[in-house]
Amino acid sequence: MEVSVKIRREEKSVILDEGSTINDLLKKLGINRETVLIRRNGKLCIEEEVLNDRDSVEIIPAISGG
Amino acid sequence: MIILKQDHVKKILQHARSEAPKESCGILVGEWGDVKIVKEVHLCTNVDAYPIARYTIDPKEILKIMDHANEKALEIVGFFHSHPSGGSYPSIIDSERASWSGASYIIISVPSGTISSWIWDERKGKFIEEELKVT
Repeated sequence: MEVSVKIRREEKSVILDEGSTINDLLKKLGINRETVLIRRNGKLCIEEEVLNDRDSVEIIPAISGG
Repeated sequence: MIILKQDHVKKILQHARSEAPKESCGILVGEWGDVKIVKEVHLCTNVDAYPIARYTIDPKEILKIMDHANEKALEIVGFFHSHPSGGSYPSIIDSERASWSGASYIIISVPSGTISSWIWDERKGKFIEEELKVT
């Protein structure tokens, strides 16, 4: 299946196996779950959620420093 | 280069002073071309567990401001935070936690009132100073 992913200003399509979760997507992209917010089809979501074909996922990095 | 208005700088400095000794923080919304033009400065909540020397912008506020910017055909062009007792240059923690490559990280020093802008270069893994113009 294919999902569209937006990270900051960058948008791309990602191919995943059927039944993949948000966690699987993050692993594939090499993103640490602790440092981002995730919206699926416009709604905040948790990493166990199973993705569907054509879903749109927005990954928003936390803004932090010292 | 990033361009701010004098009022924007005043707003950032006032927020920084009012939040001291905690670090203050916020989000810059504007137009992102070859030059970034700041249109709005959004003061945010520092929800870090150690606000004296760290900042973390409230995630709910990030989402709200992102959606607000999209509605106005603008975008997040950068952020600001303050150093209550340090200079206006990135700390080690700033580098460790930087995550928005290409965005402008504006840092204001409360003691001196100086303000500088830095771009996070993800590939090089470091901040590069950016020209900051106040109009």
